[in-house]
Amino acid sequence: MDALNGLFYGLSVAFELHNLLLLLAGCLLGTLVGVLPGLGPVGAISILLPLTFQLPPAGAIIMLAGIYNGAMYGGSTTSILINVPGEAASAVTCLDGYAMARHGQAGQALGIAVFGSFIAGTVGLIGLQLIGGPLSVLALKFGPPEYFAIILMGFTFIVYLAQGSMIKAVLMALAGIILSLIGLDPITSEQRFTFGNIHLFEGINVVPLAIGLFGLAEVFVNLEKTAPARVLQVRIRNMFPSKSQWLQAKWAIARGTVIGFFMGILPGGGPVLSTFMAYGVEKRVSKHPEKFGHGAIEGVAAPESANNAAASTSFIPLMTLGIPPNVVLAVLFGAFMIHGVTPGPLLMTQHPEIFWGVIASMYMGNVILLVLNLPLIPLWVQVLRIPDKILYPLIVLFCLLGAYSINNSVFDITVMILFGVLGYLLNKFDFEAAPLILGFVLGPMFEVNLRRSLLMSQGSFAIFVERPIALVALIVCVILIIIPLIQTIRKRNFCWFSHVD
Amino acid sequence: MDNRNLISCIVFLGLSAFVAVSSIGLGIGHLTNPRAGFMPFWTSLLVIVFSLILFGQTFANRSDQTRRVDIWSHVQWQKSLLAACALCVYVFILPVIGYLPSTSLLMLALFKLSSMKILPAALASLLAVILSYGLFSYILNTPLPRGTLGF
Repeated sequence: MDALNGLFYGLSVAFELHNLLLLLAGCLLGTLVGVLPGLGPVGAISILLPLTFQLPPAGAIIMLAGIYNGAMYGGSTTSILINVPGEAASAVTCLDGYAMARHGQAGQALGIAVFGSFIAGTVGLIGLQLIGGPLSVLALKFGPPEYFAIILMGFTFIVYLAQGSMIKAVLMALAGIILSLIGLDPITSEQRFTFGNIHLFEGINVVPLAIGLFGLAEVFVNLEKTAPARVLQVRIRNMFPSKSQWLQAKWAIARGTVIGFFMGILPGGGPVLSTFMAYGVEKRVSKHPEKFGHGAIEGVAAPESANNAAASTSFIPLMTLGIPPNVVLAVLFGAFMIHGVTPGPLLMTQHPEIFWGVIASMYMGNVILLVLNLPLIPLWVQVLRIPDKILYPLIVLFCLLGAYSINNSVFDITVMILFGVLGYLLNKFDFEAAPLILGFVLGPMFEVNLRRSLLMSQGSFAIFVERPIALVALIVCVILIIIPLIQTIRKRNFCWFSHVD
Repeated sequence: MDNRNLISCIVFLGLSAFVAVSSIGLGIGHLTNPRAGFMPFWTSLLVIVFSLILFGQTFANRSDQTRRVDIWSHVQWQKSLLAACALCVYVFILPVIGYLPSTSLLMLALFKLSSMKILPAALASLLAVILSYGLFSYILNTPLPRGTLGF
């Protein structure tokens, strides 16, 4: 069945009334649950999975895909409104989204996030449909050296992520890597820095860490302000992006989509890595990089587009090879199995109604989520009208419940509080939290792939230059590091010569 | 001189030294067979290097008067400290007395720290706790901690 005929067949499945209603329910529930920090897509699918047990397989999978997409849309809402990332991939959105909200542009930030997500998600699905097969074959060529080089490339984006001192940003990233090493060694299973605490055997969970560093820390910082809190005045007519903002954001959406599209097929932190890379690229190409971190709309458009494009293309390895590339899709993989469907190369031939039905429903889901989320923007923005003295304690409650609900563990609340205090101190000492999150998320994959590569090559680093994909990624790393160095040296020489003149 | 950077350097140097020493205990291995301490050891060495660079930068700028920042004046840092303490106490009492009473007390403390009057704070905390309990326990089926009293 070719792609176009398959899509028409899928639409015929998705447009059946019961499947349409299930898709609508999934999108709505996914959005509402995805808004709650800590729960995110994994929590949303896990919590709502039992609802699908009595449903036929196609309908159940369509509903779960709707929940997944809805949760991806919802994750950015709390990042923008209250600086609490719904999941790790939404952490970057906090940088400029929250700044826009504090400047009275929450509606515009939410609007561009929704539109960017819609465009990127749709493009990702077109890619999934047309070149899913060849892309998944390409993904199979990625071994440990290639992954190591790609992740190293991700680390070089710290150069562009940092708003202040580069040295401090590097220190934060390294600290994030060290924090990620806590737990059992991934290869030898030896305990590292657990101090005998059984809760640390699996390491620190990224969600309470992110909630603490961004959300709780922000509450601490605002509590100590002596100026009387004022209610943010928001004009209803400025709820959506203006024409000039659209013009600013259009290329950010395009670039974010492309980055997310290709990064999404890589197992592991594809969506997370794509958001950091998209943000770094935008800051690099921007004519006003100093605006990033202070409310640049490109800083919201790019990572949100990358996130949703990656969310769509991450279905490629799942559907075509039966390999879930991240935790969320691993849960979805389990849901497939529960309903008697085995994702993989035979899915298209054995269950074409599910394969094409899911793809078609995701197209429709994107439209439904756009229609659903746009009217919700004015409602969400009203949250900012709540006086700070009521809002901040509620944010703390939100954070507590979000952290607890991940594993139903009080230990995660403890982690969140510790990182909340750390985030407050980092703010005081002029350090940024975003590089720490980047280091924390990429650290485990960085280590595992480095060690595997060295085992493969028997200790030789030449393996990273002998393999073409890894070599290209390393060259890009070098270029990304050299360019700002050259620019810095040029500026200093220019200043020196001007002084001499 | 920015004292914040000096303090940060000292903290980073201390922590990275601890990590490096602990990593040696885990075993660093060698390039043909990296062991559990390989990554933390080399990462902590990099932290030491960059900490020293930051120290050097700060020392080189020691005559820059404008870099002095007093981060504790003109702010009510005591409120943030009290909020953090309240959260620490909360973590201890949550498994003992359960979600409803402990969270009510925490929310009351936080609303009071936000300069709310006692009666509105009490009502707001009760409302927030009841609504959140209903949402997470009954709709999302999240088993919230029950204390020794069973609720």
